This record gives sequence, C-alpha cells and structure tokens, in this order.
Amino acid sequence: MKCQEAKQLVFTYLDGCLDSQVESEFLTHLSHCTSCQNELESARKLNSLLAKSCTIVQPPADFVSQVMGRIEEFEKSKQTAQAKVIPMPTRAKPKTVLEKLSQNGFRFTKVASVAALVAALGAFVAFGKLPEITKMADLGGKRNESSLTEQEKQPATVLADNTGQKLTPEQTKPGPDSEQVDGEPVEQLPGSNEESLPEQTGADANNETKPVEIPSTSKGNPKAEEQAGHQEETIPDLPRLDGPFRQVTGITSVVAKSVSLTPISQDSNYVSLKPAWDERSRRVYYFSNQEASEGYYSLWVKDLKDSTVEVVARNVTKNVNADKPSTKSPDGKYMLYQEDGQVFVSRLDGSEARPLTPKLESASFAYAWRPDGTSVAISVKGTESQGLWLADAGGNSWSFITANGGGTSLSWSPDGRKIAFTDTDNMIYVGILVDENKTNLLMVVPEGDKQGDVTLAWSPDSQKLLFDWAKDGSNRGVYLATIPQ
Amino acid sequence: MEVLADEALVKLCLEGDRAAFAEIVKRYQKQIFSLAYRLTNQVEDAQDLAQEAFLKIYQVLDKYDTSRPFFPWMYKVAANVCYTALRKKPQEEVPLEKVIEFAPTIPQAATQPEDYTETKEVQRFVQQALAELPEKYKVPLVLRYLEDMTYQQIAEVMDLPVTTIETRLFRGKSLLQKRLINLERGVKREMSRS
Repeated sequence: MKCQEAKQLVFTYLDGCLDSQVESEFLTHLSHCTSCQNELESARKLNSLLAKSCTIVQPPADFVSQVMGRIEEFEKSKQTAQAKVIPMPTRAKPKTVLEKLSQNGFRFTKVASVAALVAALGAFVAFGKLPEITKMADLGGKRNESSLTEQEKQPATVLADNTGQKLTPEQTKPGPDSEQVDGEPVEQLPGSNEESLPEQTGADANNETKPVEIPSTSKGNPKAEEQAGHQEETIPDLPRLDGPFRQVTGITSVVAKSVSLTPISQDSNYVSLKPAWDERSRRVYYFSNQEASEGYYSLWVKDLKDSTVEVVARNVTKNVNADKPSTKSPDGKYMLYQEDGQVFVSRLDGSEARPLTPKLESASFAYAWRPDGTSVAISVKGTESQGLWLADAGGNSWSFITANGGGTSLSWSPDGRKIAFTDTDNMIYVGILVDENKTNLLMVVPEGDKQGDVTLAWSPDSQKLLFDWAKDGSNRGVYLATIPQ
Repeated sequence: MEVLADEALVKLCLEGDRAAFAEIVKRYQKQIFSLAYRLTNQVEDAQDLAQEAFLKIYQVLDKYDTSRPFFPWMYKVAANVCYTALRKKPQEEVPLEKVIEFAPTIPQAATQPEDYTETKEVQRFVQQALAELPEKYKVPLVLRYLEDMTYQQIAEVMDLPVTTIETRLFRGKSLLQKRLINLERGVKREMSRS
C-alpha cells in the first residue's frame, strides 16, 4: 500500500469501517511509515474535536408551540385551498422563511469614476430604444470591488412554484431541472419524496440575500404528473368566429417545474427596472433610482460573471416604461393593428388586411410576432376569451394557449419556442411550445406585480429571462429566471 | 398524555389528533433542532429549518410504514428537508480551496498552543467551519458525529452508495483539517507576537 492510499483510508480505519484485508495492509504500511502515523494522529484529533463540537443542543423553550403554530397555519391554508375550486393558480403565496431572508438585496456603494461613457453608449445600443433622456450629467464609474461583501457578490436563488397551487406532500418533489443548482447535478435525498419548504416564518437574521423556495412539483413524479393532468385546461366556449378561423387547438399542460430566479438588483430602498442584456449576455443593464437625483433614474450595469456593479450614467431619464413588442413583422413587410375588437395583419401600406382574431367586442389586446414570422401571440383581456392565444400569421388558425393571459407584456424567446407573458394581475408566465397541441406553462413569479407593465427580456440563447418585478408590492427589482427545458 | 410508542402517536395523528403530533415534536425536538443547528450554526436559521422539517414530517406522515421504526424514518425526512434547503442556498463562486484557506476567526491564544484544540473557541471554530462546508460534505459529517450513524446508515439517509459517503466524509474532514492547520499556524503566530 502506498502513502496516498493509506492516507485516504485513515478516517475509515478510525471509524472501524475497513474490511479486514485492507485493514491489514493499512496497518502493515503504517508500521513503517512515520508520515502516515502522523496522519493517523491528526485524524484522531480531528475526530475527537468533531465529536466534541458536534453535540446535541437545546431548542428554544417555545419550539414545540412554534411548530404547532406552523401546522395550524398549514391546516388552515389547506382548508382554504380545498374550499376554492379554482382550476388555475392561486395568486397569494405565503411567504417562506427564505423569502424573508432574501428581502435584503444588493446594496451598492457610491464610488465615482469617469470611465463609463463608452459603456453608456454600449448600453444604449443594448437597449435599442432608450426612454427619453432628459439629462446626462454626472457620469459614474465602476464600483470599488473591494467594497462588495461576499453576500453582495453572490447571487441568491429564488425558486418559484410554477403552478402556485397548494400542493399535496407527494407533489412537492422538485422537477429534474430544479436539481441543478450550480450547473452540476445534485443528488437528492430520498425518503420524504419531496423537498419543499412550504410557508415559513422566521426573521431575517443575517440581513443577507438567501434563497427563496416555494414548493414545486415534479414532472418526474408520477403523482405530480397525474395532478398536472388534472390541471389541463379545457378550451373555453368561444364566441362565434367570424373570420376564416378554421382551427381551435392548443392545450396547455400546467407542468410544474421550478424556475430558478436570481436577483440582479433588488433593494428595498431603490427601484430597479427595465433590464436588458448586453450583446454577449455577460452583463445586464437596468435603470435604478440609486445614485440618481429625485425623480430621475441612473443607468446601471451588472457583470454576471463577477457580480460587479457599475453606474454607467447618472440621471439619464425621468421615465422608464416597458417597451411594447414591435408591431412590424420580422421581415419588415407586415404590421399588426387592432380595430373594432379584432387584431389584423396587413402590409405596411394597409393593403391585404386580414383578421387574426374573431371579433371580441370589449376586448383589449397585446400582441407579438413570433421571431420566425409564422405566427403571432395575442394576449386578450376583457372577454370570456381572456387569455393567451396563438394566431397563424396567415389568419388561418386561432389557438388557445392558456387562460392565464390578458396582460400587456409579451416577449418571444429568440428561438421562438417560448413566450413570456403576463396575466391581468401582472403575474409572469412562460409558455414553452412543445408542439402545436401542447404548451407547458411555467409560473415565473409567485405573485403579481401591481405596478404596471413589466419588461421581459430573453437571453440570446433563449435559456434565461430577465424581468423587473415588485415582490410583495415593494420596490421593483430586476431578476433573472433560468427557464427549464 | 400517557407515554405512547411513536407508532401509536402517529396513528393518533393520522386520526386528526394534533396533540399527538405535539408529543412527537416534544419527543424529538432536540435531535431535529440539533441537526439543523449543526448544519447552519445559526439559531434562527436552525429554528426555521427544524420547523420546516417537522411540518414536512407532519405532511408526509401518512407515508410512514408503521411496521418500521419511526425515528429513522422521521430523521430521514428531516435530513432531507435540511439537505434540500442547504442545497438551494446560493453557491459561492469562490474556489473551495480559497474558502478553506481563509480563517477569519482565530481564537484567542489564551492557552498553550498544544491545548488549542481543547478550547471552547476552537470548538466554536470547528462548528463554524463545519457549517461553512458544502452541504454534500457537512450533512454526512453531522450525521456521523451528531447521531453517531454508521456509514451504512448515512448512505441510507442520503440514498447514496456507502463508498460515496466514505469519500465525502474523507473529503469533508480533509477540508476541515486544512482549516485547522491554518488556525493552528495563526494561533502560533499570535503567540509569537505576544
């Protein structure tokens, strides 16, 4: 036996877990190796230290009542959930402990520099269209990295339940996608069949960003799948279709998977909004009223690789509004417009107009071209057809995706396979178009944002979604969602 | 409540008797809280985690096979809850070696250097260092030393091969040892200065 091998066996030997032959070889080696003898001695010390340090501790005096309080809450919420027979997600999610812990986001220090003008110009390119720039003075600079704490450097992970539904214990096993935390598969402990952290109480002890987890269900869990099956939406009764709408297809499976959220800029003292990617998806630009005069926003950038944050330009604008999707088709030949409760497509000069939707008298619409120009996602609000629809750009079909639409924010992923959208409560969803009859629906955030249109920005590889969102009705922050495949 | 076996308490719980569950919590709060505390080294985090664990046990109680001993099953559920919660914590991108090299809390060298491993401060240091290990190392270590579990038992709780547990214990201890050596060097430096 060689030293290296023997050293690896030291702890196992001390724990009495070596088989007899290996043990005999180990001891033979030990008898003539001073280095391994020393190794054994320090391993003994460590074992003794661990045994002394890793001891039973007394829980707080009121621990039992705390637990029973949680159980009471759980029972109550279960009863409430049972009382409501609403097939789609409930909106209000109890706060989890980790959510509470995650309330404190990044705090940026003010370090001035003048090196950001080029970056500012780059950012404008990235944004494509900036809001009205009212003032562009007071250029800021790169944040002093040494002033970042480890907590600040390290992004938190937020896992949002995609269905928002109250889950039974057996549903709470996370999906395969959720099992990757840092890029490598992570083993999951068995036994309890799940790993959710349901509603929790507790205080923010460390004032640091920590993960939030809301129970998720698994595609891999047969019971969860069964449940997902029950959640399949049925196509609502449609108003009579007046146009050449020959098909009504599309069934959404509410397949629960965990969406991993990373706060990019989240701070209870500041608003951060309208995120955008840089060309190489390495940096995220956004506006924030941090380091901005009253009523203004400054432009910031965060490097996703090293988590450094810079203010690109101070006081660049007073108004930051989410951009609407382009009405012009990707090939630039056609446009979308709405008239008299219908969405139409026509050539840019108005010729060859054809309806994409039936007439929906009191409806309002938001629409976005699929990147390949073959179809248009249409969010309908205010009629019994409320929800998200997919219309063939030729006006031949009109397919129901989900009733969870009706919001005004819509964004296709560059590969045209996913669409991020909001509902009337500004809940953010992602629909993954599996095939023409099936769309998997993910709920990206556990609650809506009452503050109006949100920005939804896909990464060029269609894997990640940036958005702004006000958690708990607080200041808007910028988040990054990793969308499971 | 008269002293009932765990299994009888579970039966009562499943019939809707919450007092029976309170009795289970009372009976095992020390073990579950200690598990959470040793993994986090933070009282509040441990409280939250231990509460989560009990809530989960309550939620999945109907899955318990009454023909088997209750405690191992319950402990496995609790360990799973802890493991999952820790796993979901943000991962630092600082290389592990760097983390281990960094010894922020050097205990006061009040005693002779050779005695340093016996001080309360060193124990606190070890507790902190243990809690800072990646969860895949610290969970088996805590199970090993807190509950004196065998490799086989840890493997069953974590649903991993025994050889993996062996490797992880070795790796976890090596990392701890490295930190302790740094600590010892730090203490000696302190001693030579004073």
